[in-house]
Amino acid sequence: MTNVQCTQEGCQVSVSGKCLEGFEPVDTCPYMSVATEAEGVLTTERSPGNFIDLPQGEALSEDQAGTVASNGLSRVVILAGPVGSGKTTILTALFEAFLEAPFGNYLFAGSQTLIGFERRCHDARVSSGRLVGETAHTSVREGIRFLHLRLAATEKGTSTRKHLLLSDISGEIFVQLRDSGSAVRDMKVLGRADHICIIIDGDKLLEPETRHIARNDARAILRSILEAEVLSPSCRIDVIFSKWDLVVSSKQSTEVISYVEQTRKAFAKVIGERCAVIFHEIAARPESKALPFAHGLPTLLRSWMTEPDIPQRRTLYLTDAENERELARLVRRVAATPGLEDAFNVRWI
Amino acid sequence: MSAGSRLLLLGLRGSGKTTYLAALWHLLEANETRSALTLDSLQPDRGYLNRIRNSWLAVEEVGRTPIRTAESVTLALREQSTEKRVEITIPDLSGESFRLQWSMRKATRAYSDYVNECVGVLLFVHPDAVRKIPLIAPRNGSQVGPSVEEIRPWTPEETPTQVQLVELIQFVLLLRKLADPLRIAIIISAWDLIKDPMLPAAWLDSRLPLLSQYVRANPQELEFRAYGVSALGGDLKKDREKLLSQPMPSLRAWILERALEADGDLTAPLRFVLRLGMNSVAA
Repeated sequence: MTNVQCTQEGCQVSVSGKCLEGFEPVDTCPYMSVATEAEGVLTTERSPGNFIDLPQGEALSEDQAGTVASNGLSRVVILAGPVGSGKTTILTALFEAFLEAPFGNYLFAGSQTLIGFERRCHDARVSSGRLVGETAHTSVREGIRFLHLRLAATEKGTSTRKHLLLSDISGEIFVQLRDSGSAVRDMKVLGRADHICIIIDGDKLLEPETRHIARNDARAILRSILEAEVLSPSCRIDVIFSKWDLVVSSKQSTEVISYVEQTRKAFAKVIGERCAVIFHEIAARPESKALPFAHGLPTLLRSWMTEPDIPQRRTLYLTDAENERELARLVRRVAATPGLEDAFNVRWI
Repeated sequence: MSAGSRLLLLGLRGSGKTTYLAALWHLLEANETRSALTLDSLQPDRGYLNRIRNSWLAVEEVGRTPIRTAESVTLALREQSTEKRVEITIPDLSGESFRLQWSMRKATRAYSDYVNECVGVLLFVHPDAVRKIPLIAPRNGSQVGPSVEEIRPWTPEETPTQVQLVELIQFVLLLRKLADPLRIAIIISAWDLIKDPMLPAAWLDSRLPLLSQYVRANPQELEFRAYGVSALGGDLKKDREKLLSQPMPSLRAWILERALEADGDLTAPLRFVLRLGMNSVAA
């Protein structure tokens, strides 16, 4: 025995047998489900011949992102940081900013992941019914996913469009990277990154009990990635102090800002000459009015969208004692990367 | 211009697609006012157009277009300045079918086949049906959200109008096989509701900024113009008597584009998407 059910508001098909949308037979309507009671389970049958599937609009898999990246100019950005440090909120705030106006001198030129963005934006919007804006944590089960924006730079009347592929990866995966060199080497996507963004949770910097762990977790994740030598030579590092509104509005802001200065130095030491690095203070979706919405994001976006000056001559100053091992690695990398010889100028001091 | 150019009326439910078509048909068929495009000959099947035109003449709701019974309209037109004959096909698709594309990620095979060779799009937006979803205000900001928490899960319907419209255009570009840029006339319907002196392109920038950026940022694939159209001539309820008392109904409808002065020739968006010579609104 079968009976038809419709998900369309106001449709009386189950009572009258007449489809609100005028489909005949009624089970060809895309809103219609045919419940087969005999089988004891509800199966949904639609007429595949009448409809075509459109792209789902959800976040992209690694392979899908690779296909997009190969179709025009592209930048691949990996946002790395512990759970709750604000990775996804940076992505949703960026999208919300484009909903209001051009942003950071870029125009929105399309997205293959509009559903993915909308889904992630929901918990910070009034339509969620929440009193305080939130961002759902990205599940480790989702694996490696990317959100996509196509942006156009409009300068001097010319328009250049680039695909921006932004990772949305659970913080738990980065804890694994912190703890295991083989986990870093298994994460092939790191080798395709144009930017690695290490996020330090600004909220955690406020209290002495949490600040050292926050700094060291982020530094350890970065060091683990750098030491595994999986990054491309042109990859750049962004170190992001997130939730900056909490830092500036904190009673201990002077002390915290001084701690942040030390943190910068610690990170600069870890990164050394290996990659170009930029530090950012970000308040993507401030909890207070201390800073405006998307504070710091225009600069971060411009950093992502700008091509690095590669090949560029970089001088590495190495000392005998600490860097014999370092040099051996460099020689291996130069040998393995065609065209890189000119990019480095190694001197012994 | 090749015969039978395929045009697409795109827009969500209640965006004014059918009302525009009804007014356009009346203007063309009655031939009471100046128009750069005129009716060359009557097409064989006029039943649907005459039905919706009668609703328009009586200042009544034209009614909701169902998905299944969407009508396809063919018009044989003549460009006055060149005497060139232009035949166009315009299916009056239901807004519901576009909502289906967004929320269920499905399109009818007939739609897909049609869009394959679609020349241009008339995209409709009703100013009173633009859905924006504000962010929850920061803690010490003014309260925008609810006062009692009642958490609701996300559904595709919980999406700003402009995001849905961008996706619908992306789908058209994905399905379309023609190489030349797609021309889009963005028609802001019920322009009589816009009380501030403002041009349609500026309204688009301020009310639908994502859509505005999208159509500007892709000149290789898209060419667009924005129009403000009052196809009915006023509010269906408030202005009904005044509209009915107009001795020449063709004078009710008006359009504006790059100047604040309105014009009565509703064919300007058609001329733009069809790449005809005189394709601006004559102010």
